[in-house]
Amino acid sequence: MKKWYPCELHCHTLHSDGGFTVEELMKAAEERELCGICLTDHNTTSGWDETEQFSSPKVLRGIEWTTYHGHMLVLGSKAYVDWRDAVPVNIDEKTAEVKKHGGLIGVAHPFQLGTPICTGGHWDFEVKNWDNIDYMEIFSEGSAFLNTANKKARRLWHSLLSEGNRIAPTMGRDWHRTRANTFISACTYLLCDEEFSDTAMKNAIENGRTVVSAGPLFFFETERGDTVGDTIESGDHTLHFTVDLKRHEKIDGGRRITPEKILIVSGSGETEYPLTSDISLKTEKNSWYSAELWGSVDGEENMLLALTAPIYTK
Amino acid sequence: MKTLIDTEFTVFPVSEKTNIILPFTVSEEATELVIDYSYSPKTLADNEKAERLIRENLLRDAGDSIGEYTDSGKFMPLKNLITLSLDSPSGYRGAAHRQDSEQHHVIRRNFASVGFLKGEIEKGQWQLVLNVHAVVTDEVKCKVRVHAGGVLK
Ligand SMILES: [Zn+2]
Ligand SMILES: [Zn+2]
Repeated sequence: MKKWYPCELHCHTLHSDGGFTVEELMKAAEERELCGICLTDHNTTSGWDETEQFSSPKVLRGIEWTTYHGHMLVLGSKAYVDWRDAVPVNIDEKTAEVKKHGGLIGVAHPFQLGTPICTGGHWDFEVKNWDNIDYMEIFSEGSAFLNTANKKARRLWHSLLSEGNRIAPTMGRDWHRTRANTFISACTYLLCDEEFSDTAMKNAIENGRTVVSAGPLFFFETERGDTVGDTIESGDHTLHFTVDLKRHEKIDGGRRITPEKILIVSGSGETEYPLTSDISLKTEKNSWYSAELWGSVDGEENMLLALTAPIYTK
Repeated sequence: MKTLIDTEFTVFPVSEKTNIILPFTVSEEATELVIDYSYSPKTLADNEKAERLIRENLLRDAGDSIGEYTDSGKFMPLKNLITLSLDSPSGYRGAAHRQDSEQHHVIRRNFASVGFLKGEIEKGQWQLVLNVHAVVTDEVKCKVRVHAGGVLK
């Protein structure tokens, strides 16, 4: 059965520069009702084995290529590919090598400041083949709102979609330690229609079944049951929306999230709708449609609360 | 204990964003590798230079939002970052990607310091790689010692 699962796709431990032991990370993830995490320590896989003693959350094994020219997340690769010789001009060859081993590739925090402030943190890779890139962090570093870096990431992502690329949006907390931040329920929701596992997580990201969220679960389905990540015929459709605050209220009730409106973003612009369960949409050929939920957080208006991966049209 | 590497050298800003490879050969049966590594200085004390490097960084990476970064103090002190990674004859054996400028690591068949992969201390060609992420001072002194050792008790 199709179901959305809250996950954290970007985590560090003592195996690199995180403050968590693997066990502490797993516990913190459980407290936040996360069903899955990606363990993505900087340039090492040495923490993977330790996760095996925990039955939940599920762990998709990853690594954060912490290169000199950008941070790139690699998930579920069957073989190690060397990060140390990745430079702006050979990145397509490096990503092709990862794809050959079945790995997923994500752009981490593309607009973080780079060296020396955050070494290699700014994405400077000259990607020509975006087919090899599966996802991009739109919300990063626990900032589940449109701060400067996230705003730029959203803009870059939209322009890549309009060039015909299919890239799933994600939230990457870049989780290094437990700390009392204000985005406890923020996560990436993944849609899985199989029993939940690391493979199911991987399939969801690969198929663009992601929702980036500051807390609420937010998604839509067409009249035929097609949803984010799917490809549909162009023309008239009715999108049926779901907004679910249960997990948010349970674990982060102190932060008051009030959804107020829906924005449909596509290659041809943005259209605003009042918060409603059904929206009639005329879609164009060869385009993409991402839905966004906007509202207030603790009284602050006009906050992006969640955005979906696009549904694509033929 | 057999010494495999015992060296001191200086790294300059021109080596930023490169790898410095220190090859060594394990030629005898060994049960562990012990790595001691340090570099200094860790931070840039020269505030004027720090301001300049931050300014350059922002001009390069902040784009049209450069005006939002008004407090350069929150990026200070700037830090040198030279991490270690390791390869055995059969492949990558992990890295210690963290800020510590004094490190001690042990790798054995059934144990490894965090960041590294446990496993056989294979005979053959290994390499310790210094990953030069950032050099903000005029020079950085590095000390590296690698030993192959001992019988496990
Ligand atoms: Zn990173
Ligand atoms: Zn990270």
